[in-house]
Amino acid sequence: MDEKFEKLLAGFLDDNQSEEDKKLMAAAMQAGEIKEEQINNLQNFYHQLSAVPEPEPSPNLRQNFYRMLVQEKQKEALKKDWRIQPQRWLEAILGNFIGGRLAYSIVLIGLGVALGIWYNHRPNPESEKLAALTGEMQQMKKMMMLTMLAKPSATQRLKAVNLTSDLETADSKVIQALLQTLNHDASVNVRLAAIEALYEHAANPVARQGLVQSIGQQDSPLVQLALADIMVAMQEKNAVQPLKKLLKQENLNEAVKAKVKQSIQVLI
Amino acid sequence: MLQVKSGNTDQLGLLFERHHRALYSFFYRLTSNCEVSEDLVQNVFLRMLKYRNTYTGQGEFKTWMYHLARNVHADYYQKNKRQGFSSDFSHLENNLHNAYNPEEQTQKEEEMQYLQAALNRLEIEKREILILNRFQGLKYKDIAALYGCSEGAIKVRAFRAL
Repeated sequence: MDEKFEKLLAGFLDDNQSEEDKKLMAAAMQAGEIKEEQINNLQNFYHQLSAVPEPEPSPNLRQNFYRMLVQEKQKEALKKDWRIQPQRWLEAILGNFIGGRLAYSIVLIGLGVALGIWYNHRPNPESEKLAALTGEMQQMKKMMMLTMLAKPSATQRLKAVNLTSDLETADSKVIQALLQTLNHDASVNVRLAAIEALYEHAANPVARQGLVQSIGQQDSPLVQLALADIMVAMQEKNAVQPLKKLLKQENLNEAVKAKVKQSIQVLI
Repeated sequence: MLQVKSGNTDQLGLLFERHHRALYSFFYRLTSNCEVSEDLVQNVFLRMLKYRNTYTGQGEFKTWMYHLARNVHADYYQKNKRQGFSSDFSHLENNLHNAYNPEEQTQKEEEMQYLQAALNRLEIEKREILILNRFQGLKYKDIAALYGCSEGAIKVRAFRAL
């Protein structure tokens, strides 16, 4: 049978035909494409089907269903419980502890600070290298200074004395070398530079002592003037005696004499 | 069902009371087995509870319910394909025991057995369509929605099943 008629008949049997379908069906019957006998047979069979008694479930079905429902509800409640559990623990810990939240924030801040300190003070290989390099540079400068102080050229020796101002710390070797220069160098300029250099290390007792002792050994008025000024600047009371001794020298320069007197007065 | 979806699972009891007979009848006509049908009905309600979030509220509840029922039956059918179906007509007999005339009773009984046997010989899909339309009272339109095809196609299949 044509699919078209099958659809029409299915709709007819189900009593679910549109007006258009009804017209189409009537036309098909008139044309003999659908026979009345065929329709009757189908209709009979279709109605017979409805006569098939409706099976009834046993009471067990209801009983089992409600048991299942209760079980499922319990399972769901349990699942929810599990989901909430970790949150409850956290709440218990934070809730029971007075100021728990405050403590939590303090711990966090502390952690941040600790991290910052660690970050800034962590061993930095580059800074270590830099420190090593600086140390080496200082060593080299020291060596260069000591070598240059022994040179015959006064300019070289002057440069050597000036190099000491670049040294961050002067060890006894450098101080000794400077004192040696101050007392024995032939050039007045070099001696003056040595005084300036030693004054920078006035905190060192050896340097101070050396400067005081040097007063009696100098014959250049310029160096004597410079020493008198430095003693005042250092407020070195021990220099009074050597200065007084200097005043007693017969051929002392007048300007030096006046300066030394003034210095002694200041120091006393 | 929307209430069940929103967490009021007690309302499933109401749905059970409304639809369990229809579902039982659907499964019984498919399997001809009382116990299996009861199990399958139970499974449908269990799935309703489990997959309640998939119910959108669009379309009829009945369509969604038979969608679940078809899946439950398909699973059962796959599992038991090799074992074969065991028909259990005891129920039909029980229902017919009350018939007045013994002769009429025998004749009716025979007719019913013949019909059920004829139904069982149909392909699963055709049997389902016929049962849904004739016994469960679903319109062709609803069955088409269930199967995801046109109403015309369902009509043709229903007719051929007859």
